[in-house]
Amino acid sequence: MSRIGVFVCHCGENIAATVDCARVAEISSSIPGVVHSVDYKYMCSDPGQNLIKQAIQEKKLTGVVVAACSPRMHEPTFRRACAEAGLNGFLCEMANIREHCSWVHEKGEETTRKAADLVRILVEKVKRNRALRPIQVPVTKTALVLGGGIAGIQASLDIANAGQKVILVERGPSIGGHMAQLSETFPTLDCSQCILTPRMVEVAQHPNITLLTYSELESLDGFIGNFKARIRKKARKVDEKLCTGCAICMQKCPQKKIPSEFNAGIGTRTAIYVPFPQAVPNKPVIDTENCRYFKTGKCGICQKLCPAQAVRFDQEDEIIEVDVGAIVCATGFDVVNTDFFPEYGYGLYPDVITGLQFERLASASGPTLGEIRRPSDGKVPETVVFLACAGSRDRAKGIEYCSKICCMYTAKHAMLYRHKVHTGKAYVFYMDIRAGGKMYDEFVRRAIEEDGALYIRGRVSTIYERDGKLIVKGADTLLGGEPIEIKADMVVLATAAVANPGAEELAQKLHVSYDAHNFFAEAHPKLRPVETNTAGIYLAGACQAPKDIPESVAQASGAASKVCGLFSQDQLSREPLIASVHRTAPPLYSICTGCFLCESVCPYRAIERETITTRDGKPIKTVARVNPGLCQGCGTCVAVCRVKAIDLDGYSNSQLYAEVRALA
Amino acid sequence: MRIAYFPGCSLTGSAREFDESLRAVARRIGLNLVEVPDWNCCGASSAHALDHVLSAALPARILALTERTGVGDLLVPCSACYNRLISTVHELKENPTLRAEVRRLLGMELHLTVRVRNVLEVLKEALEESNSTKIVAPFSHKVACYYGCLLVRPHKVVGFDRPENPQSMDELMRTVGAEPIHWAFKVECCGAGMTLARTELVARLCSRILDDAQARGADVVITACPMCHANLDMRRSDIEAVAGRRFSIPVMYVTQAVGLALGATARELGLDRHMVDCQLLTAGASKASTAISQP
Amino acid sequence: MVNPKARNIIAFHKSFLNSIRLTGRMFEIGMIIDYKRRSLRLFQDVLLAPKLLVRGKLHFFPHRIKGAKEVRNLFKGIKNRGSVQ
Repeated sequence: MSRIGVFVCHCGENIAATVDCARVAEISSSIPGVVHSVDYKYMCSDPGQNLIKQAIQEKKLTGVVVAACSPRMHEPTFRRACAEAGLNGFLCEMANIREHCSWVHEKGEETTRKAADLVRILVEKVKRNRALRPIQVPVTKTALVLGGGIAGIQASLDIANAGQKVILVERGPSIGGHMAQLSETFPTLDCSQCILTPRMVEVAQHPNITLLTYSELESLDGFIGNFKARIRKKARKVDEKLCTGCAICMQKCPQKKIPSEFNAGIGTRTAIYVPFPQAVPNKPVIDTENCRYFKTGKCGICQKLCPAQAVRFDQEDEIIEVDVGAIVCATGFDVVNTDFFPEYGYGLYPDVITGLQFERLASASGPTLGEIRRPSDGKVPETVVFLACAGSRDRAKGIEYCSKICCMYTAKHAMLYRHKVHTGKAYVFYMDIRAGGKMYDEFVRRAIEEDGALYIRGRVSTIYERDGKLIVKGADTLLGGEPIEIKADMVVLATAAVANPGAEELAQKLHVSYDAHNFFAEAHPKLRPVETNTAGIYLAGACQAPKDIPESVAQASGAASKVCGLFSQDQLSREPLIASVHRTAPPLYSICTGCFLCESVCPYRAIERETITTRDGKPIKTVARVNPGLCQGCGTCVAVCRVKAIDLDGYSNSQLYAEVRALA
Repeated sequence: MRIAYFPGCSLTGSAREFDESLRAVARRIGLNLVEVPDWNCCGASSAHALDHVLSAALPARILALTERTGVGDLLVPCSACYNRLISTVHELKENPTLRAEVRRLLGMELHLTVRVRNVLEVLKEALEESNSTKIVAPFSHKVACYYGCLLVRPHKVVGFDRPENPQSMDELMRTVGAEPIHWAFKVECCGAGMTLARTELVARLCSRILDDAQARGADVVITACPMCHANLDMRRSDIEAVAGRRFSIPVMYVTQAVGLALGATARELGLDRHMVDCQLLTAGASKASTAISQP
Repeated sequence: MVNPKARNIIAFHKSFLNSIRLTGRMFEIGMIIDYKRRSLRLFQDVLLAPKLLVRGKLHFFPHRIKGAKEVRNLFKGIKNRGSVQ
């Protein structure tokens, strides 16, 4: 037998100004099943809540309807109040007579009637509510961080320093990411590796961090707090435990002219190599595609000469399985190459380079040891033209977004060039100057005013080579709209930042949303920038969108704090408003026919298959089962189920039909 | 191979050697040209500049007449006519209001089924199809292939070759034995219809084109546009006046170069109609041209 | 409303279209005479013209297509809409 209590709130003037609350309470008292119906000025206040608690105890209520504001505001408040009075919180419902009634209508009889109707349908619903318990899901307190750039490093350190375990997986032979390739960072012109390498070493030595380099995520299963990851540790062909880092193998390797990835293609490396001298771990890797031994069977010098006998040609890839509770995706970005630009020569002019390649020229550990020299003939360029927005903000090139970091690093490059070549001329062709961070605009001003970079507002239509010079044809749109032609020795394109190769495949492995440009999607662009729509997977750094170092670090710490929040409990508590599949006694067991249409439409992969068996294990039928850890209660499965075998707790079919019928 | 043929006003007038050389080549490679009966001017850049509907209506009449011939493909050698016709097909397909308006004005049936093709793609196809074609006198010269603006732009409309550093003419020239050079002014504008109203501008633009071609060692500039040819050849003395120096490099139509390779005579190909002497080229030897422009 | 610098360019285009309107095809000599009238550049290219004639590049008489009336009607139909001519 239902004993429902109705509590109508005035909400000060918010509801009372247009709705006659006393009358609504009076009308509600005559609904069959309602044994208590009152109104009060502020239901959410202490005395208001006490009214509810007293009524529950005195009148032995079996359900409560609070007619007030939106449940998005105070549903937790009233559920807690009921629970404190001994009534299960999920037997309390709110009728929204504020946002749905008093705030959108004029004062009058009709408005009061509507409010009474809203109360009535909620009463009919609450009569059919069941007492529910929050779902507890265990949490594995190990985090998996994918990507060893600055974002991945920061996230790993934050989580590890909070006392939790971290597994850091990096695809390349060393951690460090793009930050390790930079020469100096804006706006302080700090030496990039000087500020990065201490953190890299900290990661390697931290007792809570397991570093897996030259490794990639093979597959991922499970759900928040309970992921199962399989990681492929690619074969370095070198035994890391034996290698001492003496580098004799690299000195003696006869295959010397392979374009170096770390040097963005303008330097070379050997087939057995460590990407850069400060690599962590400082253990070499054999590039089997370019190694003489692996291509022809001849050579093997590195193995012969290694004093620690660490070279192992027969080493195989290893699959490691780990249980983790949360994942931080920090896989970073890439830049577009010069061959992307037909108007700038299809990548055929060696002296037209990308911003990243210029960093390597400027870097003291680069192929020219920090001297700015032309890749074609090694001469020092006297005139360098920098093109901002090369590819970005260009619908015709398919990259409509702004790559964010280029205005700043172009100013930096102009400054570095001028610092190193005092007589050189630096021109920058720009569309806008985007320098929004702290001390950023001052930095650009310094490039222009102190270091003499010549900024021209306009774009470059074409670059061609003539008599050893690069003819840059652009326009000066600020001072008269005149065409401008510059005879340059070198051209640096600030090419667009794009998602890393393999980003799409990784997103699909993680089951994380991504956009048309393969950047991973955050849960909400404003208020949830470090979470994804997949519970338990967080984002850090440029894999979400192009961003600079301070933002990547901040986002990484944000992701780390989410992970630590998740790990702060042993069990994860979730709202039980989820779907469940009908189960009943044998011989039917369930009206589910096993068509699994629900499985195919569930956006959260929350439906599993369950085989019902006899005591001896003989299978009877396979039915659907909802994973309580993953289900978000969206109701899509309920809509498609052809036999109505699946239903949503708290919004069941019978509850909703009752609400609709109450209005008729 | 049979194809409908729209010569356009220039090919019957100031660029008649383009028409002559095209027919000479067509005869030798089994290309049957079916001239569109009673064709009108396409309006060129003038209609395009002054009236949008007119710029679509004039080409539309040509397309309607072509449909009546029953031949599906239309060869348009002049780059400007080619661009106008293919743009009109594109626009009429995309814009229903304009389509209705043009149909109403024309009073003729127009189904937009004609495929507008340029001389480069048609020659390539015809040469490939023809079994009996022999290159009797390989055109072994260094050539600067000049595409101009209208053959490859806008790419979304013409869908032909690549807008930056195109290769179709270069490849065609290679098949007849020439050595196309890599140069920087392949698709730079010659000044086009400004030839009367802004002659000094045309002269300036053309001087840069010729300068680059000559500096990179080309023996001849090959073109497929009567306007470009007129600006680079007919206006040679104006160009030399603006540049303050002589330019000896001759300018030929692609059909003339192909014609020579196929064994046609200079007369047949209208080579004597140019302002800048092409004679040394007919010898078939690779030599730096030292001819001086005729007074 | 037209930039004075562009007057001759527009004059050229108008002369061109005028030529087509009459016969359906472009008549160079007629067009050039019309252009000279509009632009008052009476002596422009006077040295060039004989060279073109000698090479057979200029016609003495215009060629009138059979459908010249259709073309003229096109122009008329558009003019009645009220656009540039």
